[in-house]
Amino acid sequence: MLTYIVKRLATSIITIWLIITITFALMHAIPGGPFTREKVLPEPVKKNIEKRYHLNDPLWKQYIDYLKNLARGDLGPSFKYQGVTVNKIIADGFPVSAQLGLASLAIMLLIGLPAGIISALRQNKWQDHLAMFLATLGVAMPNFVIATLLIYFVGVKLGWLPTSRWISWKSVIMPAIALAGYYTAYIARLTRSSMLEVLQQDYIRTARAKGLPERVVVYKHALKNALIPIVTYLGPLIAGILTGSFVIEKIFAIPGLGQHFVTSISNRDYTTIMGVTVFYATLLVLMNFIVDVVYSFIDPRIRLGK
Amino acid sequence: MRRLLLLLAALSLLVILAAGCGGASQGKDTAQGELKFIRHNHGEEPESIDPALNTTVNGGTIIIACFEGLTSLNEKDEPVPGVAESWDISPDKTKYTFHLRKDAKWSDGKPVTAGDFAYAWKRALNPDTAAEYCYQLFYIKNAPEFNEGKAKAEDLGIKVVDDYTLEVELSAPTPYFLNLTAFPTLFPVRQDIIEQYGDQWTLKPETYIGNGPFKMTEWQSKDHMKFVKNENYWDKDRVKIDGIIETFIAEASTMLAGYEAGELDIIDDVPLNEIDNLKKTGEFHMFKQLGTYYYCFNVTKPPFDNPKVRKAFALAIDREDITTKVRKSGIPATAFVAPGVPDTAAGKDFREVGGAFFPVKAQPEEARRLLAEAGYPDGKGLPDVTLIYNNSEEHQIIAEAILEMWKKNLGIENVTVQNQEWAVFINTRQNGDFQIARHGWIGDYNDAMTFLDLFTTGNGNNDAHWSNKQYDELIKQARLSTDEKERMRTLHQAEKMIMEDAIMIPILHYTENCMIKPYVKGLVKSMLGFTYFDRAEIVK
Repeated sequence: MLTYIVKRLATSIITIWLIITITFALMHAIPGGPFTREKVLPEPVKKNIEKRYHLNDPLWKQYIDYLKNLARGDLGPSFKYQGVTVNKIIADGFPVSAQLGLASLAIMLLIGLPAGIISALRQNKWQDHLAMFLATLGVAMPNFVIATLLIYFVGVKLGWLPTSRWISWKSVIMPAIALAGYYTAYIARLTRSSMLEVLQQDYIRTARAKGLPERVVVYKHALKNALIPIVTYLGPLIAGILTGSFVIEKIFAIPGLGQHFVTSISNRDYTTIMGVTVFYATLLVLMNFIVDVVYSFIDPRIRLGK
Repeated sequence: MRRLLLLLAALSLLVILAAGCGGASQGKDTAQGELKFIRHNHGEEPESIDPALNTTVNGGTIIIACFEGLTSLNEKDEPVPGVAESWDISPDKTKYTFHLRKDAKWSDGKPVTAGDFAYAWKRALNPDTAAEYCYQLFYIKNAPEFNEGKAKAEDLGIKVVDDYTLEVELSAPTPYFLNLTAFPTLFPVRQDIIEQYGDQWTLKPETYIGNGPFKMTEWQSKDHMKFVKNENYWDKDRVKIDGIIETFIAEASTMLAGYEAGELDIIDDVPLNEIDNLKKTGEFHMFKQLGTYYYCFNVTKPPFDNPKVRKAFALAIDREDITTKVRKSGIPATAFVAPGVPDTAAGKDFREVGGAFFPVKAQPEEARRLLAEAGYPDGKGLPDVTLIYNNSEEHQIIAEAILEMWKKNLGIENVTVQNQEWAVFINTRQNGDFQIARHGWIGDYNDAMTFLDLFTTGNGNNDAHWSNKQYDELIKQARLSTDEKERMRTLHQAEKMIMEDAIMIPILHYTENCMIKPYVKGLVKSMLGFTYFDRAEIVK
């Protein structure tokens, strides 16, 4: 186990370093820079700004400096927001996105898993048809459509919830639902097919033959194995959903991290692009690691490090 | 498994409850409560609210609420006394002596002095500050040289005579200098605060010390800012409201939902496809802005090196259709300089004196005739033409409509549109790798010069890559002239040159499309785009 963790850590660091290097190269390869303006800056003014942000240094030096600062945990100043560091942008945005992400993760699992299990157990009965109809709808309907409908009916027409922003616990509800829609449906479908497959296996027949109650057969023996593809799916999903969604955060004007993944690129805010990418990559690598560890708990046949 | 589900349920409840802790309680501050707060949606969070470093119109609105310059602008965008009670101008119009009022105070009670202005201006011009808008101060003697590191701070034409007298020497007569002193870049800032807190001074309400009608009390990153009336402001009786809440909703449809749900009092942007419906509410307002939306030709590349082809393309556009049916807002542009710019010699609007150079409605016959004269009868032999614009719904619908007008009115088929990501687009345009490109210009001050110096040879914004010695000479003359009549005549002549040569196609003049609740009165919108709350009221 320990050698496995050490090995994984080493490959993780290399992975993240590769991501940093590729992002750095790509970012500088696209035309335009952080101070590209519709109104062109006078040349000396532009020079002053480039000097201030060390953009006049050779690229290799900027790269080395970035790695050095990163090693100290310093992600640098934002090129767009004066006086604000990228560390602060992440520290401000991540908790908001994570809260929203957790709330919508709860919705996905609380609705998606049971719906999938019921569908599998009542295969081809009305419960199955209804759940799968809703799941198809959920997969097909983009989240901004759900968001717009919610804002209009629940926010404007009924006035039950605030239409946007992040002001009270009520602010979480609509975005969490809009964000969860697609994933809930997907998890329901995944659970259903996985359950159906497991229920047909020999050991389930054995369990039933032994006269175990159906409840034990389903929840203890079948579900545990059926969860493997779902856990695999959840790993990267959690990393993605905790770091926020650009579309949902934009529509609901939520001060999360998700928007920075897109806006930092259009602003050519180099340090923010790097910062959020490194943050997301680290979280993703971490989640994948956790998933691998969880496998060995769910399925004893899977052993780490072999 | 059931236990797991129960655990999940409990967890989700906790999360939802915990999420509530992050927000601020502003429920009581609504317009319905006892305190009169105006809830204005600001749009995207400002990049900086430091007067020297701000580059956006939105950031300017906040700076104008919290600071005051030597002059300030009235509802007609004319300069009126601000911190300066009065001023003297030398006969050659290059020396201004400002007399500051003695009762002007900072929000922490300290007096506002001439030294605060001198410090602020030198700071904005200092190369280490790297302020983008420092060119607003380039009219001051030796300012560009100082910014380039070729002159010392002592050489600048800024002199503190005493605490309440500031003497400014300009390098050339600048009739709009008093407009510039009302511009955020020229507002005073506090040396002691900035030296103590560095670039962090604008981020916290305690250190964001201003001298304007309001002061900041809250800034929740990416969500909102809150301002209250500044009791130390010298003219606080003018301020009728208790404060302002600026929210940061960037999406037009979301702002509108917030406005309709009664969560906001003013929004400065609306979805274009909603305008027809919103006009019926009586709460829709279109404010004139000092800006022009236009298409720029690259005059160095065929076929647009021929003025007749350029003119043909310009005449084939129906500007009224664009403003009424496509964009559903804006004013059809018949020339480059936007209406609202004064002709100071005639005492009228510059546009009124200059007249129209392009028709509001399309003139297909004339356009076809010019195209034929240029050697392309019915478009035969015309090379493929591509119009480029940057990604945005607004630019797209306008480009597509204009493409159809060209096809129909010129009888040509080989024209296409192409969109590009914003920074890539700016790059392409500046490098001249285009035939026709979308362009827009918003004035920096209320004078025709802010438009016309754009097309001088070598100007960084001259994306037409047009060069004309006579034109450059006219602009130079206007810059040096001390006689307003002479200056206006030269500027009109310059505009006529670029219009007759059709180096660009004016399409529309910008408007700010707002929804304002009927109980909000006295709001002033400057043509430069700033919102002034100092005279606003809530009357219910």
